[in-house]
Amino acid sequence: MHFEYLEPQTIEEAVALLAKHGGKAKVLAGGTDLAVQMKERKTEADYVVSIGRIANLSYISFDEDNGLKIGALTPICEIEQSSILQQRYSIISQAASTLADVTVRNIATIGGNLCNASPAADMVPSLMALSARVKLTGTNGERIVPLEDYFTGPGTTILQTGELLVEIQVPTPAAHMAGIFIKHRPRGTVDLATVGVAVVLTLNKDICTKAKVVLGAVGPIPMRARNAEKILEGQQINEDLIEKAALSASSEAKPIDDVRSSAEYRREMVRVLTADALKLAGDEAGLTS
Amino acid sequence: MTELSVVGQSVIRLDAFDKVTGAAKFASDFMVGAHGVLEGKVLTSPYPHARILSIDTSEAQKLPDVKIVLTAKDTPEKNLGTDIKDQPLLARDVVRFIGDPVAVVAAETVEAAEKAISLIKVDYEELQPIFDSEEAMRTDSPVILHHDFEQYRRTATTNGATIGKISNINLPNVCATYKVRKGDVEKAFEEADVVVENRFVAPRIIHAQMEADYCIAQRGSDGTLTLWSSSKVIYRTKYLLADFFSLPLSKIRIVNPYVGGAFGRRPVIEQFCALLALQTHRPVRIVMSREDIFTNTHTAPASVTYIKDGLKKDGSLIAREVKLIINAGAYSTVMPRGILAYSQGAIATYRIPNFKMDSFSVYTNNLPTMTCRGVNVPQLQAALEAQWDIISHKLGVDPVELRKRNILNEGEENIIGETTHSIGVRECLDKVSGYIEWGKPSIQDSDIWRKGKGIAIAGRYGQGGTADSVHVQVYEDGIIEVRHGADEIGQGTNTVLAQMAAEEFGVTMDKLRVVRGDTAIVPYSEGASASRTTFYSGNATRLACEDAQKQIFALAAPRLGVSPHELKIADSNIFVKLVPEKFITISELFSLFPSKRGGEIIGKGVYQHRNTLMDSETGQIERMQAFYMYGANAVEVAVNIRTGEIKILKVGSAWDMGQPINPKLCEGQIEGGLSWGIGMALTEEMKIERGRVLNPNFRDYKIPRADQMPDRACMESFLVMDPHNEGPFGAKGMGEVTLMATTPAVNNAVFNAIGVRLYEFPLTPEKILRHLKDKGGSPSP
Repeated sequence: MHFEYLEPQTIEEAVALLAKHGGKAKVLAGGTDLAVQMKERKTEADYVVSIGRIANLSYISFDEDNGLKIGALTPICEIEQSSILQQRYSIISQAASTLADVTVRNIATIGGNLCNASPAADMVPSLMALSARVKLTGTNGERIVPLEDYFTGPGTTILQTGELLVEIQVPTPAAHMAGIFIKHRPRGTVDLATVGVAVVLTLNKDICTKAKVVLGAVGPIPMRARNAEKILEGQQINEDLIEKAALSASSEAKPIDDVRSSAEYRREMVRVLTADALKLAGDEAGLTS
Repeated sequence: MTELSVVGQSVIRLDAFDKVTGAAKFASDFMVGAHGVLEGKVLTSPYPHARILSIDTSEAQKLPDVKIVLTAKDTPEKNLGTDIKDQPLLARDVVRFIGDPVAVVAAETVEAAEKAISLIKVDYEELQPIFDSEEAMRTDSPVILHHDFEQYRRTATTNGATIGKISNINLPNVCATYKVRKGDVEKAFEEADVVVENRFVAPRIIHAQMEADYCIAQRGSDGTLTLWSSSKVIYRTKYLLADFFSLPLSKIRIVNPYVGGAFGRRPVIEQFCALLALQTHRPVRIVMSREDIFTNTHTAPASVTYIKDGLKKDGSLIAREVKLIINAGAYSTVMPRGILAYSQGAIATYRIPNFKMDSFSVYTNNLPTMTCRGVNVPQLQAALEAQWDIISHKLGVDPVELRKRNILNEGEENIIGETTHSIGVRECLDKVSGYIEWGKPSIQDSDIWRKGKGIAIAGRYGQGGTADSVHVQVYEDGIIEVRHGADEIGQGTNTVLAQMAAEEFGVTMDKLRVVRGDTAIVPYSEGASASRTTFYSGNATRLACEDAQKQIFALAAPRLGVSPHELKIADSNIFVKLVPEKFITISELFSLFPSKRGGEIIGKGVYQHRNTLMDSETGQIERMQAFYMYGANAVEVAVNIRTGEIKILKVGSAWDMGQPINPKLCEGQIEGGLSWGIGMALTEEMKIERGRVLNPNFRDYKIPRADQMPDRACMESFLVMDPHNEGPFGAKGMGEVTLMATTPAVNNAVFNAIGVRLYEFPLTPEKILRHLKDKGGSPSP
């Protein structure tokens, strides 16, 4: 396999190269997905545009007014270990800690995880449950899009030719809000998700004022279980309600049979893990009051 | 036994420093940067079963950097196969599995070779394939893989097996059978109080050795073919190539100093490399990717085991009938000696007066299969040891008691008529049941994670009827050099043989050196397989040391004015046994040689184990195997009744290897075996759909990781010593047996935890949950 390796120094140079080479170019960040796909001949590229030399794309910043901003090149390990994330967005660092193993987390980036657009991407459900947005920069300027509207199918996104994902933005968490991510792995340790569930609950006393339930690996793209959210919102959180919401999430999921799991098992795990996540999140949101 | 000073000590492995620093050389470290190495690539079949109508290589041959393109017509007309020569190097008229080699290319670059492969045009006519072994085994199978079966060349009879006589006329896809008959099972089943029948299924698994297959072949100007190869069994590779290419043995040299794990794998690319090197007169390299290994080479077979047991109320097993069906894949490879080996897990642990076994190896349009750590004994014993638990539940007899009631005693005849010797399994069972506190139920501290305990034993043979040679050279500075042809595949052969030589010469390990892995300089060994190396090469080492000492004593005796038998050697001094102050040093001795430096002391040792002839109708034989290893595992697991996940909480392992030569290495083998057993129990499975491997990588073929092992504090290895009277210092082997009790122990523990019994491995969360639901979701047995 032959390709030309390009190393732009700025975002402008990068988007210009991507615009020029169009579909023949692939963006290389940490390379933990791209290198594997190219090796397995699942992806071909005439041009590999490495964005690793672009300055100031790896950062985690937070203030109460503007919320959280994460640069696209931020390695997963930094997200896992960031104290601000652990304190204010523990669901994100929790998700980061489940991604592959430590050697992969050291080089894989959050932007890469989002751009690879695997239905099982570990970082997506929790970010989506926190109403994250992504900043995309192209030759014609930038746009900010809800993460929920970003994925179009397995491996595909709304990114257009010449566009680069540069930042992830997450609003400041509300008071009495808690999130939990649970990933099911058949090996129990380092493994791809057969199901990933993220829930974020906001409570007022024991009434759920806002609920987000996001499912990974059970549809072509990570998906919200909107009916489950409706069941929860405005209600008192208790075991019956949680079971009802979990059952709903399970029927909303659109899993497939594949080499990693049967659809039937995935559906059952959505029920079990959603219930577990809701219980934990409910307890935690209650505690923070 | 005399006091031992080096044997039995956990000395540091001889290769530790080189392996930790990366200085150790593996096959791919040779010929790096050598000029003119061609890259070889193999074109394989995309169909599981098809007729080749035509092959057009003209476009591929036109490429500028392509040196040669070869198809079946360019290969020797012989077929490959250990016993039944049924596999052409390149498919002639028919392809029989997805991955069956069709053409090979050698080119200046990898890219050119790949391009050439893509330009070869093959016209296929698809044939109906067959994948299921029980379907393919039928007399009226709709598909027959080998119409020429009766005409295939066979090698001579070995081990008394009826290799020359095999005919499959009534079972057209059966390539090999094995049977055992003892007593009258039908009558005994009638007399039994309880009869228990079950069917167990084991999936295809793969060796998953760390070093990917790699080979470079070079033809020297004198016609000598040299291979630097990552495959173990250097001498068997040499014989295989000599036979296939009709070359004299003197013209083949195989080099592989270290092997990065083997687990039963055999040469797969060496033949292609040799073919290309012989034809191009250029060195040729073939490198396999992990995906190639998963899809184009060979794996352990899937198997189906039927067991019918008849017992008396008191728990004595009076009859057992076993039917074993091996899904051999497209070619026979190591059959029929393979089917004999695959069946041995049912033979040598329990006393069973009436016994009947029929084993079948069946051709299907799947990948060919190969010996793989334990050679189906783990799969067979996973079934048999689960069966013991099922029986114990039925009879209400404790599983440990039940086993003890039926285990063979020293001196008793086993099922095939061998005399039982060195069977330390009772002590192993006691050690692990003590460790796990057998009899005390698990303490339940969660409604979701239910705990349970399970126990299982295992027994495995060490191959009989083979031989190894070892040379030992003594240098004037007192260095003892052991030259052996067995493989260092990570198991510690170098260290273990050196420890034995150090013991024989009464020196410390710093005086030892080992030379291995090159057929030009080391003597014959059958190689590291069937747990045989410590026993065979160990015995040969002792004999070689004895021979070297004989030469030394003959030289020293006149000088010291005594006869040779009065002498002893220790610490590089040769002294008179009764008058230790009368001695001569090794270096003084060397000065006695006529030309001072002209003489050499090289001891030679050949150890051969002889087995007797087997009665092919009954399987009865006086001596088949060299020795048997035994042991036990006791485990405690926790099962999540909502997700079906299983955690291994605690494991006790006890193994009888006769005499541990290096206890640390033994513990390493035990923990490695345990990890392999956990993989087999929980996750390892090749998923194959219509002959295509769906998980050809370590992402989806899940071998266990370090963090799946129990905590260090919850894992204990016991070394049990029941010395073998033919073993070096009483030692047997332990490469394979250590993995064999884990899978059934885990299965039994899961049953103890949640009352669910699985008959199909691995025990995936999905299967656990499905069975739990079928049972009505109640977590108690």
